[in-house]
Amino acid sequence: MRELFLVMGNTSKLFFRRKGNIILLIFSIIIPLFFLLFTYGGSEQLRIGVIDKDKSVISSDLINSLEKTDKFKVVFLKEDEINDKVSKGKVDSAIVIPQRFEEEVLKGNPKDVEIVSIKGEETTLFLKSYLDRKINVLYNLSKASYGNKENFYKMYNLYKNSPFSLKTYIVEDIGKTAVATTRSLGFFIMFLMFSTFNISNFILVEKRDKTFYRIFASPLKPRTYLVSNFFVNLILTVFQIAFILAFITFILNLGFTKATFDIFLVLVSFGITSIGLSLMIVAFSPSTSYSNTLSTLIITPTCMLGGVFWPLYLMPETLQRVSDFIPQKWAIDAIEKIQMGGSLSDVYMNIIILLAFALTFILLGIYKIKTSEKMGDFI
Amino acid sequence: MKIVRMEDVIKRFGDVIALDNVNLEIEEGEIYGLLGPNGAGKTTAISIICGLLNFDRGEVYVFDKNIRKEPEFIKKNIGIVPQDVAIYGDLTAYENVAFFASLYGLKGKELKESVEMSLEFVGLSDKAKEVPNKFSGGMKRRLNIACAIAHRPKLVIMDEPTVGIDPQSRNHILESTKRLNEMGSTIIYTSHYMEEVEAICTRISIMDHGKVIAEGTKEELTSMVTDVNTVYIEIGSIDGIKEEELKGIKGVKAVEIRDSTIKITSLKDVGNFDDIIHYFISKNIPIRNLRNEIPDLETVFLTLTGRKLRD
Repeated sequence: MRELFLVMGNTSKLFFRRKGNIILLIFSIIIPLFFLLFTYGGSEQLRIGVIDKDKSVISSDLINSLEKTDKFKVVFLKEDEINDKVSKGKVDSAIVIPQRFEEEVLKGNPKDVEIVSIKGEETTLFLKSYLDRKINVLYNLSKASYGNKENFYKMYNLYKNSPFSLKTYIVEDIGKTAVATTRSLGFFIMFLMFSTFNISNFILVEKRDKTFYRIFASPLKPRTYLVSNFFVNLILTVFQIAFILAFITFILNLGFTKATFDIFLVLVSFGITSIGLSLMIVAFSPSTSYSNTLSTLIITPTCMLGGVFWPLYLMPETLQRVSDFIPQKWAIDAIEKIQMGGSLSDVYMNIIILLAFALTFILLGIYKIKTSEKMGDFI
Repeated sequence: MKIVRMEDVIKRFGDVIALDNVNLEIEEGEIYGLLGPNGAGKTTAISIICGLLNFDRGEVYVFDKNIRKEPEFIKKNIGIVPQDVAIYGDLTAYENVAFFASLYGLKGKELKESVEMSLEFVGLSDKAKEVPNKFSGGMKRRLNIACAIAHRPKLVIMDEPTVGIDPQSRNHILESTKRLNEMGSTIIYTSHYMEEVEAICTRISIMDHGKVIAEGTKEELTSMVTDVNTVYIEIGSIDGIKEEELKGIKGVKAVEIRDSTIKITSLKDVGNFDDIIHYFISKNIPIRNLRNEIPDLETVFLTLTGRKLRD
């Protein structure tokens, strides 16, 4: 046990003596937070792009009512701008009010308002339920007026000017912050992977610098050395996770206050997976340059495939199926479930899958180390 | 007591035989030299003695204990100075020595005293708080030694400890090696600099292509390759010198006169040096210079292998 703490102390000392490591540690926390603050944190309102193809009284009223909620900022768009503005994030979502909207409402068969978004259900859910409620009112008025336009508008104006207007109490809308925190935690997951790799890579750095040779000439057991590296990695990982979650929860007051611990557990499970993957990369690499290249080739594409940067449903179905074999997918999926009000019971399977990935990686790494002529001879 | 015993050790790396039936016996208190060119198998041999490398066949005993059965005891009593400097560039000299010494169980006051003693031994006491990244090559090599001796090992293995350093640091290391030996440590010293091995080693093995091709004291090794001794005598004038008279001296095999220098080759076993000097004195011929050519280890290696040590 003494040797374990001794090597852990030395690894930690070496970690903090190298400026590059501290910079990576700080970046892994700062960049996701910056992303969170500056990309999404500026305004509480969702920017809704609007294309009104109907240009009727009720379509105009529908648009006005959106603005009156204080939750939406309406931006009028031309039809050919819609995809560009949505994909570049100029607007959070866009709605298209179809032609003959008023006519169909009067017929008692209101057409759906099309919603365009790339930010997932978290953003569109609130907008969709709001529009559904409004259209439902129009539908009921249409039914009550038996399709008579004059009667419809009489009742409609009464409804609009009614002193007994429905006062809406909006339960906290977590949609927007949920998207922001999921994406920023996605970035954090990527940095966490580089960070855990960096510490596992100490093993190869020690081989390169020959201190590895000196360490194993001493009576220290190889497994003590490997376990100490794992624990240092785990401690720093937990610290990073705790710090970023505390910042999001207590300083930014965002989102998942009640579920912070659940997210913490998901991220720690992913952290262990990431450490396992890093150890495996190191075990399969003959040199630091090889391991650096291999880690980049593994981490960045798997983050893309695992839904770290964008929602999985935007990808082709085949790639979505491939993502089942990528740990990041299960972490992001668990975070999204918790963000949408889920609890640990909804994500325990995700955690089990993540830990199964971790175990597989670690066992493969140990097998490789034990059977490798080059490394096995040294350990 | 035999500190190290290697018996018919074979080590293969794939198709390459790194050690081919190597037999070595190293006595306690020796400075044992392993001499040979790069790739001769020296580092492989010492990696096996340290318990860092497995071997395919044979037996290895260190401190009379089988290395396969009691590696921990053996490792605890060995200090290794690796060929490549193996220190942490970001830790101070003190921290480096303290960390490696603590891996051998040293702690507290004992650790502190041992670290200070080791740094003083290699002349780095005043650099204890500095990081090796700022050290010269020689200073790094000395710290490399300090890290190996702080736990006071019975056997110190030095693998090419002087590669690429200035003459001053080299002398310091050679002196330190001798002092370590005087303090009770047995030393295994590998090098491809034959003059270093000649200067400090009590016994020497010459290795080539994974084999021990010769073993013994320096004198024993040189006598293996030659049975003659050559003397060069420089005089003012060769007038009055008769080659036949010189050849008549007991043991002289050949005489060669060139300009003012006479080369006399004699049988090594015959002590005729006094007779040769007397010949010149009796003829009132003043000797300006006299040089006795003794075959060195380079000659031994060249003779045994047909190539130079640093080829």
